[in-house]
Amino acid sequence: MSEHFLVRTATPEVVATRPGKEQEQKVASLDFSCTNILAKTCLGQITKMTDRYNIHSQLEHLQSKYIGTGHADTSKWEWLVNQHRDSYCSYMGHFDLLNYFSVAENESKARVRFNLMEKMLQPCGPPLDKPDDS
Amino acid sequence: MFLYNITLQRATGITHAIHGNFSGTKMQEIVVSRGKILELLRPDANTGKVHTLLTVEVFGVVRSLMAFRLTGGTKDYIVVGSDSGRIVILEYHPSKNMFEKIHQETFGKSGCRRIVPGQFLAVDPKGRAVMIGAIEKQKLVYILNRDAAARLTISSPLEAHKANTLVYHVVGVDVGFENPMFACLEMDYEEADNDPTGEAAANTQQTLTFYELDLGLNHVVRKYSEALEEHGNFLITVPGGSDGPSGVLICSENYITYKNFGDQPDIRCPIPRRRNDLDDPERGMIFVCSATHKTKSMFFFLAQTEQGDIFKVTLETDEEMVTEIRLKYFDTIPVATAMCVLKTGFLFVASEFGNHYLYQIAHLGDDDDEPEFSSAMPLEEGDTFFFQPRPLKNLVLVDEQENLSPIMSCQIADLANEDTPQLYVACGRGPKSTLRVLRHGLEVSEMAVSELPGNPNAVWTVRRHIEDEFDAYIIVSFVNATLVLSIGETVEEVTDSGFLGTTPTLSCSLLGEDALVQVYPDGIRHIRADKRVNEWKTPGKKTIVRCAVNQRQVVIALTGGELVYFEMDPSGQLNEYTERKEMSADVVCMSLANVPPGEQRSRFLAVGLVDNTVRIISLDPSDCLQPLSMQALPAQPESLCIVEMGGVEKQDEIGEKGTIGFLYLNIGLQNGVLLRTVLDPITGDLSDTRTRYLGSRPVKLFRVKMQGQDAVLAMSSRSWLSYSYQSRFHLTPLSYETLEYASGFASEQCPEGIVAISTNTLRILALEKLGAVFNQVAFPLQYTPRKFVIHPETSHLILIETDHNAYTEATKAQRKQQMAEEMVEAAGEDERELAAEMAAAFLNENLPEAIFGSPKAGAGQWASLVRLINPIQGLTLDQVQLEQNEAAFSVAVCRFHNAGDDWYVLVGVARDMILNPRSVGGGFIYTYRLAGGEKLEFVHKTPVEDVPLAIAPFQGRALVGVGKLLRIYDMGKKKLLRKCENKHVPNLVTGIHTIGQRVIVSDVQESLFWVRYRRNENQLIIFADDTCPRWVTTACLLDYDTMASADKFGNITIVRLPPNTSDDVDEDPTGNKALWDRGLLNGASQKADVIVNYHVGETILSLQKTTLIPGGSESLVYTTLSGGIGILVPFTSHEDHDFFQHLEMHMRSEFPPMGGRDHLSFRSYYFPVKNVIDGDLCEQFNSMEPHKQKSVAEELDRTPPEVSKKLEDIRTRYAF
Repeated sequence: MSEHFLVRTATPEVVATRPGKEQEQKVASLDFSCTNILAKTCLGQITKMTDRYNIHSQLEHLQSKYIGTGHADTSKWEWLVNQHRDSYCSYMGHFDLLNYFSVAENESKARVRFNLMEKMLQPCGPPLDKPDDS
Repeated sequence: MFLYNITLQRATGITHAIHGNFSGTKMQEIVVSRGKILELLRPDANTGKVHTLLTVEVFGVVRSLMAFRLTGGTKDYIVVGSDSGRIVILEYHPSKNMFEKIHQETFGKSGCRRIVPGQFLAVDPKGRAVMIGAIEKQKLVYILNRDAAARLTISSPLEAHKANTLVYHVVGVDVGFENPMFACLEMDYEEADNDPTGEAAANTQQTLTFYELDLGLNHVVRKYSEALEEHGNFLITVPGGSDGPSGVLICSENYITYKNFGDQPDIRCPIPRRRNDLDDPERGMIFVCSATHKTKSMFFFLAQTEQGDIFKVTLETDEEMVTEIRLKYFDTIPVATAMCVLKTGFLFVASEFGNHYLYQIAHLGDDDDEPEFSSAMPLEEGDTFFFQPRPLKNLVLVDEQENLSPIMSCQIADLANEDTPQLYVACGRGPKSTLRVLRHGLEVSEMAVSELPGNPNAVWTVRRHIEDEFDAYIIVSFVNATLVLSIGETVEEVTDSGFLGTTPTLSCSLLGEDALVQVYPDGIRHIRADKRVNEWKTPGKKTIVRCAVNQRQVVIALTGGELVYFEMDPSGQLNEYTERKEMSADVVCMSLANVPPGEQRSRFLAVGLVDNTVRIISLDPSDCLQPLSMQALPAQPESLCIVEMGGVEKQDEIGEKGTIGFLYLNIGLQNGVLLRTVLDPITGDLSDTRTRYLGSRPVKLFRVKMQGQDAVLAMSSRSWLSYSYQSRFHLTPLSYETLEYASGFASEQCPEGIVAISTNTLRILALEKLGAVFNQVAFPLQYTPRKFVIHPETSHLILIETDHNAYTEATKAQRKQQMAEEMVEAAGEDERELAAEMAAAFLNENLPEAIFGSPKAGAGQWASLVRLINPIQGLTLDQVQLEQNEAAFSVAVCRFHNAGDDWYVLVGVARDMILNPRSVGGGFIYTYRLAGGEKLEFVHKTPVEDVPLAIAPFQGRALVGVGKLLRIYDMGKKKLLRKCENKHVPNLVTGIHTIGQRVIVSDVQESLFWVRYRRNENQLIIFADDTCPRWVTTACLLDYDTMASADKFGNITIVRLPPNTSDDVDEDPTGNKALWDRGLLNGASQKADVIVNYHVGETILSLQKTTLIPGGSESLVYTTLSGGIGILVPFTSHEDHDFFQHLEMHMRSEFPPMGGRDHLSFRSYYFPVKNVIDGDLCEQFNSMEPHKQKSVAEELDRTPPEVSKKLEDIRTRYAF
């Protein structure tokens, strides 16, 4: 369990830097879609590491990149929280779902959006009390 | 089944609005997003009208929109954040009237996802950088710059991610020319997620975080973060640099706070509340949108609360330090999603629901007696300011844009007996709700009607000089006289015009620069500017029967079919051509095109003859009066008109304005058919004929000007306008009585009108809403309409209106009374009298709820009513107000087999319903007898245990969906009697359809169930269902085996039972197979096949199979929550399908959507698109550039006009 939490590194003050102008062209030419990035990491790592470790690190990479990617110890609560947060984001993104809620609740759209944002913090109540052994 | 999707009316609700100088001229324009449509609007500062310049469907969800301008530039660009996983920058080209995608950078997956940016956009006010953010974690910054050729460049993205952080809003902070800075309202949820006690969640604070883009180091730094006291919902950036103190205003629940970094202390001011408000006192107040106005010397903000009150927010500064926030009540208007203050003093308001408005800001609210609230005023914690809402004082309404959103329900029927069916649309929310009747046609505004001494035959208008903007005379011809009216302040008869008044007139026009010509049966009268008159008399006994005139040419036809041609020479003299031409038959009509700018003459004359032909005759000096081409007609022609249309307004390099369009010859036939053919400008050949039936009378054609372009007014038993609008041809009927003759009209009051005659009246008309498909009549309602049914005998509608979070009239009155009493009681002994007076004033005060909103009662409070309405006059015949917290959700009108011939209305009502999580205190079915179709007589009330969400008549009984139960009820003396029940629908019955012994039930999330009623056993048995979960909102029967359904997410699906299904069940003698044979996972044993899947992109709330035009074929009509109306039509031939499939394929690759979303993946958003071809994409063919059109058409082995004809044909076959 704990190793999965290791993936989350503390955010440094400088969030990110990009290479200078010269290299930018190269970076920009790469497609940023996830498949390409995955393919790249796969190819880069197969040569270096054993397959077992490779799959493991790929998963870790996915889990850190895409919030909500499950792992062996995902609890029901975690899964549900992710489901809810994903849904709320979808509601806010799709204009007609927001309209739909706004009509049903008879609230302004800004209020519905605000309520959804507020619910994102803890959509399913507090987490379950975990035993400390993991 | 293969279907073709056509949008009849695009969505009308606005989700975002931005303003800027998108054309690069001084004029300010507005770009609005209507969900998946981008539209450019231009408010005309002189007339105060908002014109739509361009509408583009982007086939993606526009989630954010921003305008920016590079430092020192004069033109604004548009940044679009969408669901495409890309950032797109658009530029508007006024010359081509199109948006050009100048940058498109991919950064993530498509779809509205949690961590894929697109939800928020913020630009640096100096236009140096743009930040695009997701709701969680990801934020990307792009640097914008110019290259050597002054083109806009965009950098690769710089990341500003922070994990486990939710973002509420992002804005660019105005820091002048220092490093660009962005302010984010953020919340970190990591601690809350790891704290089982829930304490951390309760203590989680929102933070205001500043991100700085270091232009020198090319990276983004999280500069500074500060926890906030309360949760904010959005930010307003405060002008900085040399214009103001910089920083941001945080709008949060009940407070507005100013923040800036450095040693600036926070300045906080509560949001004032309405005095004596009926709202739930526990409710907070938030601002929903804002607009900033900035000039060189001052700036202010207009911020609107969720009640619709606008406050003018100003900041007091002391040496660049903000010391005070001041709020002043400005005005109250309907709640908006976005507001734009324009430099010309207009305020554009995009309403959440209901019509959009353009206001003029008449006063800035500086010097009135309205109290000003200030952050410096001492207040106790939790206390706030109060103000009194009042009607508009500072704003003046100048224009209104009709908005159907939200369409809650729609039915199409010809209740008014007009041949063409009308659309009855229940739309709006709360007190702004309306029932609108839509008819296909252009709205006509009548500017003037005046009676004439007799019945005139014809009317023309002429200008006095070619440079004149407005017409000078109206000439009206009678059987034996001609009347000349001069146009000035008033319209009055004149005799000094030079026109001959004692004879009827055949035609008249301005000739050359400043001369006039009048053609009458005995000759031609040429009136020079100095009133010298030249007359040409007809030879012998011959008279002129027909004529055609333009600015330089006159052609007349004498009795016997002889053509005489006159042309004006450079000295202004009208010369007869040496030869005359004898036609083979009598001439019935003639037409000349306008002289093209910069040329001497129009080269073609069109002549219609009795022998059912139209001939094109050359007027070129080299082959003058030689026939060029001929077209045979199915009937005798009545009228001809050559116009140049379809050109976009273009300005060439020299700066000369002109249009490049095609020449069209319009032919009106005696049998009421209009033909439109393309006239080749070189050879005079006729090609590409389009046919349309207009009405029962012979078609007369008149050339008029509409939005600076030529248009044709065609008159049969109905008048039609043929015009080109946004590169599409429209042929639209006018919603007006029959007219006989017309001409264009321009005056100061009415720059683009029509003067027309109808019997003995002269009318001046204006057509303002070009491009609008429907003409609307609206009747106000009280609460949100939910559903309605049509009483088949009287055509009256029974409508149910229900509002959550609302008080009924009775409760409102009671609460008001209570508050008034409290007011009096709270007052001291000596103030009693004053308090009583105030209380009385409060009780008498009645602000219209349509503008001021209705009081919000809190969750679980419902107000509802049942209304019987005559939809033609809009008269409410009867209405039943339900008690507080009773909510009507379903309605049906039916007859019972055991209750005679009376019609009954059943209304399904829920009591004390809570929306989320759903719970209900009980339900009822109210039964009313429709006495004579005019009155709702209460019969009885049947208690049920859950919400009755659906009712349908079924074989002289009623089928009711009570929660998840499906029941049959019969009429009883005291209440409805339960006869039969099925418990196997999984969640909640939302709709019931019946055909024969079959019942099709839609579930709230599990799609459709086919149920068979076994009469002998009195059983309802589910025998088939669907394989996909669908959150069905509405469904419609297509045939015995086929159902169309729509879901919340904007998909339309058609499912069909396989051919062997129905037989199996109908012939299963015991029914045990269907009853006991449970399929996989407890589903029904038989499954329906999906035959059509299509993502419309807007939530569909009504579906109906109907014909829209008389004699047309049937189509499936859908309406969406955003106000869109569209149809799905079947292909009749395999060839057509093949053609459109290929066209769609080529369009996808040649003309990819503007928002960056892939078209195919958008239409396959939730389910892969199946068997539907997107006509909206195909019709974009017409807005492509000509060379692209050509290449696509070549791939299809056709010419571009053939392709457009195909597109037009399929549209007109089913709709308009």
